[in-house]
Amino acid sequence: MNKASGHVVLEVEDLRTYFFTAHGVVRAVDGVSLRVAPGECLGVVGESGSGKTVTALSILRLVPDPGRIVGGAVRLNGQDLLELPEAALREVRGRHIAMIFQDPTVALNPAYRVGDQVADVIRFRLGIDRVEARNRAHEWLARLGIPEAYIREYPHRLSGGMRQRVLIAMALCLRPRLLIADEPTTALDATVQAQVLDILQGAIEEMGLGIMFITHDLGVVARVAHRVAVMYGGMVVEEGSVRDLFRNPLHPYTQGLMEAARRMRPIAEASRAMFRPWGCRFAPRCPEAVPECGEAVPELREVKPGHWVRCIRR
Amino acid sequence: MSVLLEVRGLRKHFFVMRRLFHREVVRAVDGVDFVVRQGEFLGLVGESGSGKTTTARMIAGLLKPTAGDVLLDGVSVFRADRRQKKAVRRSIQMIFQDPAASLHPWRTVRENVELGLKVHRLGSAGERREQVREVLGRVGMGPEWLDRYPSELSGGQAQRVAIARALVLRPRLLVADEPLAMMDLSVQAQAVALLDELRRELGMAILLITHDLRLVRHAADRVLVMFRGRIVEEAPASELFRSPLHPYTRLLISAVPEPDPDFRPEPIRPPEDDGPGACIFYGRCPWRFDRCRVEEPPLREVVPGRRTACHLDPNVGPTKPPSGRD
Repeated sequence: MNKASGHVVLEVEDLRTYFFTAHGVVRAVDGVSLRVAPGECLGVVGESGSGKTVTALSILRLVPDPGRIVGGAVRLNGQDLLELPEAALREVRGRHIAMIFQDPTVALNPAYRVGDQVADVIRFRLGIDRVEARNRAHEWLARLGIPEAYIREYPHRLSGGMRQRVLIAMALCLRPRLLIADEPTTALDATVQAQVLDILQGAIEEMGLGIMFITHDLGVVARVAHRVAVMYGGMVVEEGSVRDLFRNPLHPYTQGLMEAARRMRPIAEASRAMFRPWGCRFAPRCPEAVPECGEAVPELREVKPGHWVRCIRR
Repeated sequence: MSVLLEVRGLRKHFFVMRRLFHREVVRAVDGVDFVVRQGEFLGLVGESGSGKTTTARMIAGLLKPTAGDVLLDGVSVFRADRRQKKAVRRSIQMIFQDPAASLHPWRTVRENVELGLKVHRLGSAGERREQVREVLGRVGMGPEWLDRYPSELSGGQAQRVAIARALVLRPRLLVADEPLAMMDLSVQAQAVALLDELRRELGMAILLITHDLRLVRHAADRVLVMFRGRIVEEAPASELFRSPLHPYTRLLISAVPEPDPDFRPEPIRPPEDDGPGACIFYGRCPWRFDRCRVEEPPLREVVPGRRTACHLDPNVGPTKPPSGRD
């Protein structure tokens, strides 16, 4: 599978991350390939358990036990992060690849003022003096719409939306090349969510930042992403431009997701009959499944320039 | 449809210590009136902190109001005698935000669902067993789940058990507080579809509390919109989405991300800060005008079946985003 090459920030190739549990091996990420160009937002969608978050953690080599990356490559500007020694990797994390999570509360230290937390990141990562770091921190926080009075506050005094903006400031202040955002707006109210999405969009355009935006919300993806990868059962089952994907979803799972988002109609639940561990992962829930679907995992095929689907019936 | 539950002037004020000897009053719910009709699907939406959950907890009798009353069949839920109170408790059942946390972790699915029947002394042991089995079947959980523990269930399954536990008492009103707020949309859609199906079959009413407008859009008959402890708009669901009358509702609807890459919401700029006004939404309202600063708009019926608390002309409403600052 060779996609048209151009300038890329992140290139994930045939990534495999398995969890070795007492009950057997769980293939959380099973041959995932993705790429993100500068100034591009790649939306990664799928339900919980589809491998979105483990893919993100694998990119940063932060997979928790008993998970292990068993194969593949993760290249940041051509450099394979999976080969890098731990010390060099720590320079990459935060500095070149920043990550923001669903729950902004646990990511902030409750005992320090938010302005100081952002300043510390700038000071220690960029090695500049205290005053300059503080000025830059205030500048970033102001840019993200944090009122002056709150910069000197402790995290618990801030609303959820403000905390998430503080974390975005912390992520962007080092001018990373790639931002991995894992469900950053799921816990926020609709009006606050819209604000945060606007901020991220601004950052893409202004800084030429590449974003990998993980979410289960297709409405959010339609709003921010340029391209979308749909994951199911540890694999990418469809990938294409946001327009192709929403106008002409091909994979039965993507079609189900669209129905759920547009009409709040649930996707069918699994029937045991179609389940084959070596077959198509979605077959047990697929309305169009035929016996052949259980025989092998379908290839990810390019059915139209830039539009890829993993289904034998397409 | 006749009225099942009536909420009258409901208030809940919390006192919070800000500094030593300095108490601050938080008006979580500040004068709420509405009715729930028999067998209807009513949605209650608003952002976090708007008082939705506090309202729900008072209706379910889990929290005493500072003022106001909740009447079930015309009988006060709070002033009922012991026998009546027990009947009320049975008639109004609640499912909570975190289904896993609301189940007893050391009791099996069967024991969790059966507990309410035991408390209300309903049926013999054999009858209870049969009812538990039946109600779990209704929510799509087969008998193989009876002796499992909550820790063995997925979030969606735990939610089903929580629904079964509420339904086994045959409630007339089911209060569902942000069920599955953190789950995938498809799982949420499943839960809402299930609730709606059960509502039709069993003839109970549902009060669904959520911050996600998409959940009530297709399922609810009527929708209430709350903002800072008050109801600012009430309307049949279809009309609310077609022509919102309150600016806050309008902002909420336009903030919902549509699954359509060509959809670009018109930018609605928040107003500049110029202090509080008489209307609670003054500080955030792009449509405000002079009257809103000095005169609080009461919640009133502007069209049959539609209430709003806004000075804007209800025949026009907040249609186009105002171009300039006021």
